[in-house]
Amino acid sequence: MIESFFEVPVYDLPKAEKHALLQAELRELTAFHGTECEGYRAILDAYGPGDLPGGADAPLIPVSMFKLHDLSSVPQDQVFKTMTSSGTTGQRPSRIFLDADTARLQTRALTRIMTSFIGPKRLPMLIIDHPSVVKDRRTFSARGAGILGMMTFGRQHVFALKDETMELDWEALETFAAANAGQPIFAFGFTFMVWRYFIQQLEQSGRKLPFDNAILIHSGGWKKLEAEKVSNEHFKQRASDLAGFGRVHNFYGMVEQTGSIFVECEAGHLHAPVFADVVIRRPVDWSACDIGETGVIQVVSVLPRSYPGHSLLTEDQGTLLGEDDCACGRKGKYFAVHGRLPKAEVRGCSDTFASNQ
Amino acid sequence: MNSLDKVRFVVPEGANIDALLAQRPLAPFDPAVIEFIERLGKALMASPQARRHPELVALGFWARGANIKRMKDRFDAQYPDALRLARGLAFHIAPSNVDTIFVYSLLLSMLAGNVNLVRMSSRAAQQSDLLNDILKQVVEAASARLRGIIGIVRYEHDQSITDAFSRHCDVRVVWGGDGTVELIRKSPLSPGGTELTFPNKYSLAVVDAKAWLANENKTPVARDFVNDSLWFGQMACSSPRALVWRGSADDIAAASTDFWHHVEAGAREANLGWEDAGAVAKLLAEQDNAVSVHASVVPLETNFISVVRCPIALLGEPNGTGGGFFREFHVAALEELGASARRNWQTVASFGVPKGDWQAFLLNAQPQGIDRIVPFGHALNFNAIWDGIDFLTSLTRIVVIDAPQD
Repeated sequence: MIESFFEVPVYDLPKAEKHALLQAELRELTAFHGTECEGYRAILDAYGPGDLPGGADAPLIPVSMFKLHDLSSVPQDQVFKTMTSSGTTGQRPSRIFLDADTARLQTRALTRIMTSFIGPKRLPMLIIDHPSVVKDRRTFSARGAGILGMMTFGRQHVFALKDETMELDWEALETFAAANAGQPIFAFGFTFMVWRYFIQQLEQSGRKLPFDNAILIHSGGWKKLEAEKVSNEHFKQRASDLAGFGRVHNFYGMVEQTGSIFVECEAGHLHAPVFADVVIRRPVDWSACDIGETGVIQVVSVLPRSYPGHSLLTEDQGTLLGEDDCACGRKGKYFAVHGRLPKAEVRGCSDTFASNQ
Repeated sequence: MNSLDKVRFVVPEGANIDALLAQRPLAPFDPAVIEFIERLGKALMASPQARRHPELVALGFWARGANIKRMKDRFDAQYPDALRLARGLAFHIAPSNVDTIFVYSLLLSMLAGNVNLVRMSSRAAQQSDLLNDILKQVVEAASARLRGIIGIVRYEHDQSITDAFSRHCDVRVVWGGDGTVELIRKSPLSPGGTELTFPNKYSLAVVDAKAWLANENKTPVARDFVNDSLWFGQMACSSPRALVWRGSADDIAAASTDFWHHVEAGAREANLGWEDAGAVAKLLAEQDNAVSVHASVVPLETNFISVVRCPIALLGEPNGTGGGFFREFHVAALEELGASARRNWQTVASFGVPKGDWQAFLLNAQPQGIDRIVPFGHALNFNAIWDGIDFLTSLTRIVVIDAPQD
């Protein structure tokens, strides 16, 4: 029963209880999609119940399957929104079919997760992007959809960048800063864009923004920043020094599992909320890695009802750091992401701008 | 010939295009060429770095004197009443990816006596740099006459240069696959010019189920299959990417599972170029085939290889996954391959199918493709007859002399 996931605290279920709850739900979802989605059924049949990769409860589906095939578990007239990944040029993006029910679950789950970090009160919000990425609401790119999703957690939205030139919109920023000086605000953007077009432009201008104990949520991978030798600590330090962001949280998520995101805690670890889990897999045989062992990240989520995306094998490497015992006090598994598997194809939300330059 | 100023000589140093184009060819199997090839072979065998690349070791082995002597004997015996001469200038377009095979065609062209102009790609893999270095050393140490028949050049793609060389050459040898062949064909040859092209190729394996079951030495056979298919990430033109079983349904059912377990063990032991991302790519390919054609997946312990059983209709379709991903098909008789065989089929690595069966099949079915049928363990070995072409015949001309003895 999906409702039971909303009746428990988002980061406070001990592992035995969480595993039982999750396993029952995932098993039900696997059976449901096997009945309702022809393509998914063909995958289950191809292996047979005893030999499913990742186990019969929630077999592994590589995320790229959603690029190769339209996998949907609801009749076409119930699809109310199709999400696409930002994919690189010349490559087919993922297509994720949402019905009203799944979309609503995504919003509810994201709300539970976000309010546990930013509080129930909506704060004035700075979007570290330019307004045109959310203009055309018919085509939900991962970037636009991510921003629109986050905008519901703020008020008085202001875009920090002017347009495709990625220049800071000083006029908008100054008005926003004057209204919120010394206050906590909420900001969201994609990691690379936050660094390159916000933090670095602030740095070059020699100006600072006057917020206090402000919250910055960002997502989209460290690959480019690693190449520029920017560590998470340095990123946080600069965001704090230049704009008063005392609370900076990265998160790991993907368009194929919108809603059940993995947010970085105060201790710097990504956490599985009650709606989701991670399993790190050994590429040699897909068995589960031990704590501390690096492998390929599998993400599971109880939210996908209209498409068979409840158990996905990503193309990212990660390490499970522990379960129920993070210094931040949250329960559930916590882990670190090390970026794309070498040689796998390039994808991701915030790569689009710089790679087209 | 102004655009020719952009042509940069890599080997030999200080050479120039006019001198190369004015050069006279040599007689086939000139002793200086034979010596040069042997030296190159020895240099490859002596290089610790080259020994790490099996394809360079294979080239070194091919270049030994005994092998050249064998080729010469066959060459001499072919047309005893005619005289064979070099065609003249051979213009070679080398491929940009991993490929030592074009070096064989260069060496064979030298044996034929031709003057050789080689266009190297501007992007080249690491081992081809190594090969270039060794080739360069051996060329620079050779006599002026021998240096005179080799010109290895680089130039950015410029059709006017390719046009000029194409008009000028007597034979053009184009490696690099369909795209390169298509591009180079935009440059016309002289009316008498000839051409050898090497488009994209696809290879497979055919195994007789009864023969596999009866085989008492399965481990080395499986290891040969692993070497055939997993070197070069299964992406060489000769790497088998599909496996066809011949036999009764019962025999195939028994043989298939047993065979793949042996191959899996062999692949695990050989561990040729494992990539984590490759495991994800194979999982994706399994499921793609499941959804597209209702393929079933052969259960295996590990991800070193991955095998899907597919309907025969898919046999003609290319499988571009690589890294140890196989499509498996079942036939009762070889004849069933005829309808699927494509023009781009190159190598069949065969186990347990007698030569007579292959001959009968080829004659009766007249398949469009299939250039060579070789035993397991030989798929990647170069042969002077390649893609249906006898190099030494194609790179020479046959002069008929019908005249009294004295």
